[in-house]
Amino acid sequence: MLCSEKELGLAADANGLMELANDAPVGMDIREYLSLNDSIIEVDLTPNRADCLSVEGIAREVAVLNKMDWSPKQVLDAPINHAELLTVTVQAPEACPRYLGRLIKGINPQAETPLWMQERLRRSGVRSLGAVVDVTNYVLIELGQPLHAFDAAKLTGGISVRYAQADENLALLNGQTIKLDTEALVIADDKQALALAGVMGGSESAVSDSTQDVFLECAFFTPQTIAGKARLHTDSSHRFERGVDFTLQARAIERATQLIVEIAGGSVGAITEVTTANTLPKRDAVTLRRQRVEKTLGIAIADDIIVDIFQRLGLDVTTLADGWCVTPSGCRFDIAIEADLIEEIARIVGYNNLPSSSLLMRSQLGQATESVLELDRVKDLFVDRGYQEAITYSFVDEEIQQAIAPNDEVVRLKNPISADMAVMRTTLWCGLIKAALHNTNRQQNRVRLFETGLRFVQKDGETQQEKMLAGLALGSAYAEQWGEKTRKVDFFDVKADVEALFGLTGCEVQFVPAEQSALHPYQTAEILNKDGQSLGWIGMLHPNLEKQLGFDSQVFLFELAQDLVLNKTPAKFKPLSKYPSVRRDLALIVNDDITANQLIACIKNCNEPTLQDIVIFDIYRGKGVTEGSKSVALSIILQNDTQTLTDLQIDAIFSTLLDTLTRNTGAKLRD
Amino acid sequence: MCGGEGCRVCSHTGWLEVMGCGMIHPEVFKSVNIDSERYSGFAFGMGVERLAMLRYGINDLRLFFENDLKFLQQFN
Repeated sequence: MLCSEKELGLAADANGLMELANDAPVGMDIREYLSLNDSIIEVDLTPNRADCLSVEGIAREVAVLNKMDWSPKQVLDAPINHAELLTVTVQAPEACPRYLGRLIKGINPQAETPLWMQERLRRSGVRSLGAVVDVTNYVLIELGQPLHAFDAAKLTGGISVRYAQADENLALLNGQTIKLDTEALVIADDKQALALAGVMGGSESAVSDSTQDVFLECAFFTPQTIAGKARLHTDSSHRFERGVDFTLQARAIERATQLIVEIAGGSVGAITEVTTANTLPKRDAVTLRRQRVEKTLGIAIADDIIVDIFQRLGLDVTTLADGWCVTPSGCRFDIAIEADLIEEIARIVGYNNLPSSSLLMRSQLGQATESVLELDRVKDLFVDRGYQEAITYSFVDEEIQQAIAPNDEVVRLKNPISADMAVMRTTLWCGLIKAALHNTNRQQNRVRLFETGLRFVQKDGETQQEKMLAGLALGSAYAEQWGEKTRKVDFFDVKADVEALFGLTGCEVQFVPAEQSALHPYQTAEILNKDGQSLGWIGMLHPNLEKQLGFDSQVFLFELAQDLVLNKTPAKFKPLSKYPSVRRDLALIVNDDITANQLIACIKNCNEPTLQDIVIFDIYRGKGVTEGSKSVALSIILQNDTQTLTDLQIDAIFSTLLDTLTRNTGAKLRD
Repeated sequence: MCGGEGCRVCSHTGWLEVMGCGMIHPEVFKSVNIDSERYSGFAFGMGVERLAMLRYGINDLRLFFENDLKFLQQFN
């Protein structure tokens, strides 16, 4: 059967049938021929361990962990066959402390990458692109050193490492042409930029299947030069930004030379090296005190084991009287302080081999206080009243934030994840509204949500985090059923939910009509405590916003400051009266703008000692009552602690109450 | 979720990171005026969502932040 590489599952794409080399032995099992009976181990690294971004690095690690012998790949210097050199000028030595280059002339442009190398590359996820490029990729995977090959015939003059000029263009190997800025480090010849240093080569100077003379580059670019600046992420930039061993370049260029000559022949020129020693990364010696090892890890580790671990890791160790002096190797960018060395010891000894022990600590009984209501109780309350707890992001869409709280100064994120998470919320309503819309867009016509969380407001020039409790209700008052006529949720339903909270804290509050930019001008109240301090807001979303945000029904909102509303007044016992209570009803005619609250407050202000309770049980407007007025029916309950109240006493009390009501609110007894 | 078989949640590795932990960096102690010569610290923190995913078999982290009633009502 004739198959393509794609059909065999060896490649993602194939142009036609898979062609084997002429010397492929007929009759041999293809799995054996391609050495397919292999295991591929994928290694995931944390960003600090760039030293393991190569087969050699992994080998070192495996050898250290398994106490095996290991030595780096030895490469002999290639014999020099010609005297031609390219001049190399490094204009940015702080970005490129070391640059090695070499001309290899007269290679066979048709040379094919041997199967073993093609296969190794394929199994490492790298496509075969021709002998020279394959060799540079192979050395990158083998040793961790990115290299780049230029077609020497396409270079004009010498090589320079410099920052790009403003608006300089570079056509990259991936087909993209980018406009460079003066922060971009490039490799250039006398004419133009050739490659984005450490990231990607340019298409004009790229090696092709007609290339005979190659200029091989093997450099060390500092992590700071590449990190965060590369617009492209490549195998090369990935390594440079995490840190390539700055002692590796000579060995890597010899290894690449050796492989190129083996595969494609060619005549080798001498290496041109430009190293600016004082710009190479520093490797300061780190002192490790013996007693710190035991103090930090909790177990003593023998001196010879510690020294052995460092030596096997390739670190330079000197023994001191009370510890060691360790100099990290070129490939280790992550060892700078004593704790880093202790970490190495723990890692190699094995975290699993460190003993576990229980924490020794003093336990102290916490104080349960009656003066603060637990937040969990509040959450239970709202859940029991049919709300769902929502958790929304503190980062919100500036558009919604601006619409709801146009006057609030917001904290803007320097580096937002996305435009709809660009500012910090100054009210939890932002998230609740978004969540409610998510639900109404999914055929939910009854939504009750609450959230507890922080809002971020500017006060006295500082950002303050305030703990809030907020809720939202829309749709029908009750879930659809037969017992109650369907009606929409209204202000008073939500007010009852909020009042239930104050029922738990015993806090006396007033709902005072007020205006708030996000809320309906006539269906909004500010919630005040007895001292007149504002605890929060409740109201209907402003009709303009309702429309603007995309709701098709009324939305009710509340938001309270947790610190103020969770204070609880512990109960205080009052003796029970043995004498009967009296209830008398009053029907009052008052102006429409007098609130029930005002009537109740007025009665309470009389400080009548026998007053027990006031209940408003009817409000009537219409026939029999002048327009602009309403009839309010209220019950007043009186009780005396020491005697049964007589009719005479009761009449006197009611006449005083009525007088006060008339004086302060204009209330008249209804005829 | 996949019982170690590999799925979308674990990026087909069979493993899910639920708690990061480690010794506290001396520089962190320095910035809050704690003497790292005297004290060492161990910090750890769970991803509550990840654990909830495992506990309840939730296959998408984003559900926690969408606040869909059909999702929330399953956990009353």
